[in-house]
Amino acid sequence: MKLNYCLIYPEKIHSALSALVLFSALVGMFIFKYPLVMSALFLMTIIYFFYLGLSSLRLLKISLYTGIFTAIYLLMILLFPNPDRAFEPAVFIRLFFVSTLSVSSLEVIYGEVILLYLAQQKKFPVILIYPLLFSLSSIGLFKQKFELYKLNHRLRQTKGWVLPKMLFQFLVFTLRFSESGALSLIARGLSEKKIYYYDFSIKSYKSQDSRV
Amino acid sequence: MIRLSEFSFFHPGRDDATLVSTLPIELPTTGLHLLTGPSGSGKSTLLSLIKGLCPHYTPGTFTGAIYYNDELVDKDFVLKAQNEIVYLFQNPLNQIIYQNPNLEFCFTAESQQISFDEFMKHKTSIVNSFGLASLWNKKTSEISLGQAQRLLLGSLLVTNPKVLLLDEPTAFMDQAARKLFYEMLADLKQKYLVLLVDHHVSEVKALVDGFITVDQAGKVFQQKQLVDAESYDFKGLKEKHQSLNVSDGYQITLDHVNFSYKKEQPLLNDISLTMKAPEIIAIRGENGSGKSTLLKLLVGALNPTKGKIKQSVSARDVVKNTGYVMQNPEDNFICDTAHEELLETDKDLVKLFFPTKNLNVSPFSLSEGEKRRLSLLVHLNPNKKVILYDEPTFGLDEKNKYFVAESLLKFRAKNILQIIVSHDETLIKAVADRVFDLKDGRLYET
Repeated sequence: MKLNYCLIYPEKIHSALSALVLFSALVGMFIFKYPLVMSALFLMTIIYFFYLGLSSLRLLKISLYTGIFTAIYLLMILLFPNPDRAFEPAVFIRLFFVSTLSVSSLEVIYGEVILLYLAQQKKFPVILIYPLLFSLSSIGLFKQKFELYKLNHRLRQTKGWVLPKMLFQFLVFTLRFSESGALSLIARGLSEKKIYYYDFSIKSYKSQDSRV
Repeated sequence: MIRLSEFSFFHPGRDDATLVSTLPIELPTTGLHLLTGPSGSGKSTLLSLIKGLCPHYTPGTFTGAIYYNDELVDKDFVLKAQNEIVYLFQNPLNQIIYQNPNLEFCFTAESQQISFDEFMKHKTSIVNSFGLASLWNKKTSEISLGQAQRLLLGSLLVTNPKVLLLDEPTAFMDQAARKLFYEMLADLKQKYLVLLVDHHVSEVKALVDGFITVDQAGKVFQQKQLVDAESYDFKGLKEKHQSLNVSDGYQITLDHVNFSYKKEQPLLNDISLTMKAPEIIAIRGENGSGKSTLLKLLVGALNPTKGKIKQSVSARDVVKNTGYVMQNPEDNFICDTAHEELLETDKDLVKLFFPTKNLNVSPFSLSEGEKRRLSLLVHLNPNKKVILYDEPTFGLDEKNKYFVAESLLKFRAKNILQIIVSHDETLIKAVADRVFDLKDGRLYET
């Protein structure tokens, strides 16, 4: 693979490193079950995410959703307790921390950068990486499509249970979308010989001044 | 040079040929050649055949041969000639690979192993010509269709190819961007061969060196001059369909409406406007100016961040009384066949837009132009009080554009408020009672 990097992706810290920090924090939470240790790990990672650009409002919103999710889990355990297992409050704290960190990480860690790092630095085959990149970039589009389908059914006053119809419509769209995506990759000339103008190596992030 | 021998192409499951050429077609190494023909005739398929995607990467049966510089276009050709022939698809959203527009812009050149210096040599002029610098701080999922088309086109042009296959590159472009693009084409055609599908025939005609026409039956032939081009009198349409004077027509009032997707990037700013049936209101504006967002606010899919939208019915009933032709035709379909989609549509309208077409097929299997027509028919419902159209003439030829204009005026006579977002000046001039420009988040009446 011929390398031709001259540009550096504008990130404070390489997403691959941030993913490693997140992974370490999550593993730490599973190893150390003490609420104090878990809280410390959670706080440190969140401060790190704030440094990367996570907003407090966004964190509040995410915490609300993950809080509801944890509360439902807690309610289920209280309603249907397992007689063979003692009730462990730490499990809920961990569940809340793990889910909040995981969802928050989507705001500051770019999967795109990690995948490109793997393709460029770790020589992962482009035939594997690029379909993943294409899927990743389409998540926003899928979200928009789903909203539009919902609106369309309301406009057309569809009777009955709309969700299965929408899901089928969505399935058709994703199949066609992936087909045209594959064609686009071929037509634009993707091959293993592909070069890169951006440097996705971790060491390049030290030379911030050379960003273009 | 591109040479097509006598050929025929069959789509899978169809007995009649989609495309047939009984005479060889030869295209020189430079010049601009326009592919004309009614929507659904197979123009995109022809470009796909020349690029080598069809039938090697998409299903179909092809008999005959296509040569590029005396080399047979076969399965390996696509990769071999990747930096010689570039192909811009009709729907830009299906081609975007990255979330980051800057990476997207680099992708084609990187894939074709263009050196960084060579890339930078062309980059600045293309970025400036297409106004791409404003996209760098956005995600590709946040940009409009017109902006996506410009981004992809720029990404292809930066590779400095020999042959450009462009399938409706101007479909979602505003008039200013289109003008710039045609100026660029005038330069490009001196050096390269450009095969263009574009329904703005009158605007591009002066630049064209030759025509390839595909008729309704799929017969392909080459002509030096465009003959048998039907002309339609758009100017006389309004007089033909007199407007009504109604005192209690459906009314929409926008009262100091503001909207933004992100707090720091306001999109619509203090918009106040009253629209009343049976008016036809046209809204123009640059790509990404917020035209489609404005329609989404009117249909209730989004809520203003500030200000109010008042309609003649309660907020709950807005959706019931509104028809909304979405920008991407496929988003309008909910049934298994095109026939089912049109069960509630006036039969005469169906006959007008699809005189011969078998509609017992999946709406997704139609051509882009046919999908546009179908999506229009789905929402052209006289029981609605207001109909919103987002680029209603995208992908349509002159004949179908005329039918659209005529249908809109007929619906005006039925006391329906119609709001069009379009870059199509011909349509706007033919039907609109009032025209607004959306600029810097504000509406200006022209």
